[in-house]
Amino acid sequence: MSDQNALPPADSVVALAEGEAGAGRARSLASDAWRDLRKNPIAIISAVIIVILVLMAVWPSLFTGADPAACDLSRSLQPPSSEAWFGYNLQGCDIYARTIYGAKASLQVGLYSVIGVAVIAIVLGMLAGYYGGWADAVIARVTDIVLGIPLLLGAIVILSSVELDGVWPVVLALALLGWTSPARIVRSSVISAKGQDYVQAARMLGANDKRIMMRHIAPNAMAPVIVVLTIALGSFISVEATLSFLGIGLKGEISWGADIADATGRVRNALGPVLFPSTFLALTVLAFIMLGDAVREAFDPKLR
Amino acid sequence: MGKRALCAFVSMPLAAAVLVGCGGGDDGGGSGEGFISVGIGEPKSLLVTSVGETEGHQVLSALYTPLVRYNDNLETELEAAASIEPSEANKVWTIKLKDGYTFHNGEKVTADSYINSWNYGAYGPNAQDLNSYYNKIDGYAALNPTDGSTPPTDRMSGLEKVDDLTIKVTLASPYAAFDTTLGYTNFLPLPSVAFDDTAAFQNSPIGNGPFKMKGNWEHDQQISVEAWDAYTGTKPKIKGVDFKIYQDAGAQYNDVVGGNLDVVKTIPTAQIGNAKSDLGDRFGQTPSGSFQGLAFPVYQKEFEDVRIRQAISMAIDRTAIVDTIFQGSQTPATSWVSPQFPGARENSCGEWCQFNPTEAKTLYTAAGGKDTIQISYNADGGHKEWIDATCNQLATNLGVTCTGNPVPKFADLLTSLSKKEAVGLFRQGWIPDYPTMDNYLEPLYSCNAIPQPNYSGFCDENFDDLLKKGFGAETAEASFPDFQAAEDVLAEKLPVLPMRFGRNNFGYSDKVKNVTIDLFYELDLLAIENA
Amino acid sequence: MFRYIIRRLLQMVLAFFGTTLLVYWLMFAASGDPIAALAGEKPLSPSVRQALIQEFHLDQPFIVQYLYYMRDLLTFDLGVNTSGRDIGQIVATAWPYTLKLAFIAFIFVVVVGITLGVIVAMKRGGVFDTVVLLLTLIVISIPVFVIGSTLALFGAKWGLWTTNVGGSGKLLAYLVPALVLGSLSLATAVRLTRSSVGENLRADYVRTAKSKGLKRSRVVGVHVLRNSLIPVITFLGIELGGLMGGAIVTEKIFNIPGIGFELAKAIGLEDGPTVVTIVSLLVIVYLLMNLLVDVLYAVLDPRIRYE
Repeated sequence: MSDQNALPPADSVVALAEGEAGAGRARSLASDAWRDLRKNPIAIISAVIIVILVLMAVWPSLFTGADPAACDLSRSLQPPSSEAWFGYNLQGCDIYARTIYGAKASLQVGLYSVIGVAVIAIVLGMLAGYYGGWADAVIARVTDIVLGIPLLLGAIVILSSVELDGVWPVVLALALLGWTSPARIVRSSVISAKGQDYVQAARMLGANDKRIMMRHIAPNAMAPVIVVLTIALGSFISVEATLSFLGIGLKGEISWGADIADATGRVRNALGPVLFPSTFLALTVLAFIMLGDAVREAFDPKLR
Repeated sequence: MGKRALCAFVSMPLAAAVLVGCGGGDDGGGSGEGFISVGIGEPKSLLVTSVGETEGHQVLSALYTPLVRYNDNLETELEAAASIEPSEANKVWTIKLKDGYTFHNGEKVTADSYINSWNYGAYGPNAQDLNSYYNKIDGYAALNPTDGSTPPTDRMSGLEKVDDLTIKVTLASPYAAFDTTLGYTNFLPLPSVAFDDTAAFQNSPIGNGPFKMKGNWEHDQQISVEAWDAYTGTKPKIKGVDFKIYQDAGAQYNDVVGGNLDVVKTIPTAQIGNAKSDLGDRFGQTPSGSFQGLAFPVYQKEFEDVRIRQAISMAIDRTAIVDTIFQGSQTPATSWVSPQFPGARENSCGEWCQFNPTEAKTLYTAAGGKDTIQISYNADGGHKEWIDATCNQLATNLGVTCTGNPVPKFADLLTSLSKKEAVGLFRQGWIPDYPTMDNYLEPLYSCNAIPQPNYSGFCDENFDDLLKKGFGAETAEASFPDFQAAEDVLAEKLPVLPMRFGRNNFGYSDKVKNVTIDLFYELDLLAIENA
Repeated sequence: MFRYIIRRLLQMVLAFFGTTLLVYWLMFAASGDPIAALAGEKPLSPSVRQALIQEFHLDQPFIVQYLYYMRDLLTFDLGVNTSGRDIGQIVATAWPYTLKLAFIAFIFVVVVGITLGVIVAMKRGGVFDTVVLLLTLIVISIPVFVIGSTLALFGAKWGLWTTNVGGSGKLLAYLVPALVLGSLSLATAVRLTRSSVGENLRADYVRTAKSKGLKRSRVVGVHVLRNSLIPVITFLGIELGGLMGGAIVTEKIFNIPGIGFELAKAIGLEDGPTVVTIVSLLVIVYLLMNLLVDVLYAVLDPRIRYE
């Protein structure tokens, strides 16, 4: 309420009252949503899968006693057995152990990149959509330029110029190159939300830009963004695999993507090394998208 | 603006492309009856002085007839040359040409055709890829000033036309095997029309060989050649060849299996296991001269102790890698020069290239080896599998942590090396150009080949002296002991660990027979027949 | 509207310069040694290195190299790449392949994507809905190169389709690679349409229209579709640009010598001018597509006015 003095008393009272009402609604919306989610079987299943995946990432030794780095060419491509549930890959490494240990890097890449993308996309998309004019023009053109830069080129540059360890170079590359599509979606949602009556009403009541954006437009513009971001999370995990396929993926990390990329050339002779990490990857993506859908529906008042 | 260029701009609006039907892929089939199709990658150039890679070399092998050829025993046989005689202790060579050869456009092949071609290639400002291949000829230095100035002349003083069919070549220093090197691309002739517009010429090169161009080089799609009726040498048994350009050996293999391509020169490693069942006896293997090794950058102090290098070498089970990763499609290397080459020996590396994990571990610990090892390689060459396998073996057998470090392109590795970054061991490959031992030894390990292609930076006076002695020997045979001694220096110092010699793993359709590929990865187009 | 389009076209010029500068800089930063990249693993004499450095101004600072490039570009001379090939020709040869591939993939995405999306939105929660959603998820979650390589491998094995699409010249041959290329966009399009249509189906105006006694087909076909296609069109516009940008992976697997392939090759050879030319062209295409999308907005949504 820093600009309280600038507002006529009547308006500030209204704004205050509306603020309280808004806060109250948010609280009840959240608790409603939570109640809904707890009853939604899809949400529960997805959440359970995600919890298991996170456990795998944090504490892999809980799931397997085998060492994913212990590889022996003499075991190359042996089929599943009681010792190695998923068999051995070309290098003679235990596929089950590698799949468990691979969860960490893959989840990190997906999650961190999507967070980065969400931040950039929402900020830029809202600014462009809400203010329009030159802000929109500048952001739109920047978006075009970034879209025009091929992923391979951008990724090579970023991956070769940053001195970071682990998943961070890939995360940085994906976040810097992947925000454009979601930003467009945010922008167009904001544009259509901006024209709605309730936004006009809020403006007439004297709400400032920040307030209108945060309170009125953002919640209504978020639905399509959540859809796109949940899909993006999955696709980032598989883009990481594609980067490995092109030879510029994660270095020195065990990840599903890298293992799938390594094994794809021999899929005709050895299905296992592709199938098992792919299944885990698919399950992960599935879980996040389903949870995203469930959350979106729970938060969408129109769906009640 | 040609039809294509026009098409691309007209067809910018999306739909038009499909309606107008742009794009040069005319038809899927061959050029006609008696033609065969061979898969290649896009050549970098088709100008003889600039073709340093295998794909362009294959096309030139159809269009040009070299002065000499190598037979199955890798002995040099005269082809376009009538005689090649050394004098003045191998310093001066007199090349007599066979009469009757003409270029496809009717121009007579004369001494000038060769001299002009070689001068063009050796002239620095022309920036030809094979420039350094002329450096043994007297006068090369004058055409290639190192200070960036314009050369005072564009003709090498060592080349002299005696008469229309005789060339006298004076070398800067004696070289007993000079006649053998004359089989490489850079010593091919060029017709005078080539120098009018080299850029246009290399889109439709005119040669002196058994085949002539049929149409232009269709970039990234196809190069078509047809048998040339007026050819005076041995005529091919086929009517022509469509060199179909692929981006990926996997796609070539798939097409041979599907009957859309006649010859795939390299079957991808991942498909070797299927090749026998997919192709039956149409899957062939011949030895190749290609060398794969792991090099140690000289500036990395952790590898300075030779015991470390010996231990790492002994900790690698080359046979297991070849059998598992390559399904037996390559040969474990225990020498630096392919044993197929005249004068070369098996197992010149001795005990250091024999798998001996216990000894390796003891030696590594005794020498105080670091507990992490990195192996760098270019990710675009399909090396990941064997690097990973090597790393796993080092990890198991030396008790170290070993990581493979893929860099996007080979050039990135070069950049890292020139900046003296700690890349660890790195992959090094080599395909020789002609069958002499020094063609492995000089480029990869001599002091003046630093930094390229002697990437490790190995420089040893004794080694260089032995090479020099070998070059000065009276005959090629007489040089063998010196080159062998030079190779023994490598065994002693281990600047590069031999890993594998390649094999040509090729496949062909049921429409062709008599398919052979030589040590230099060249498909024999005179032998191949329609089935 | 006219003035709006003019303004956008002017912005495009600025964006074009911005892109060329940025990409040129990226290439400059990423390039180690283009001459070494060119020579590969073969020896290269110092004099040749010197000649090439001079020809391509590689010894000059970044901004000078860039200005050389722009000078040539503005005189409609795309120049030659480091292998001596005319860059204009490279683009002219490669583009039609990419366009064919993109066109088929796009038709596939639009037709199948929107149709499926609308159908599942109307039958939300049904068996069909669940099956389609699951399928889209599977497509999204499997990396495209796995789908591509597998299809290529088995297609060749059983002789179902060719893997040498570039050389076959037949439009039909593009079908499988187009399916591979479009699969991810398709899955996203289905989900987006489903969610957008679903939201609009519950909007007040639909209830009004229904209670007015309008036929369901008209309500959905005219009112709902028109309103719910806005985010879908945004998405499709961007995707089309993306599809036309070439697909490095798909083009590699199916041997299509298109833009993606040329770009990958140029990046590998550190061939700055070729990369910048191709990327700048791609950006122009994006810009035009986006202009088209924005104009379509105004047509579809009367609330949006450009002045």
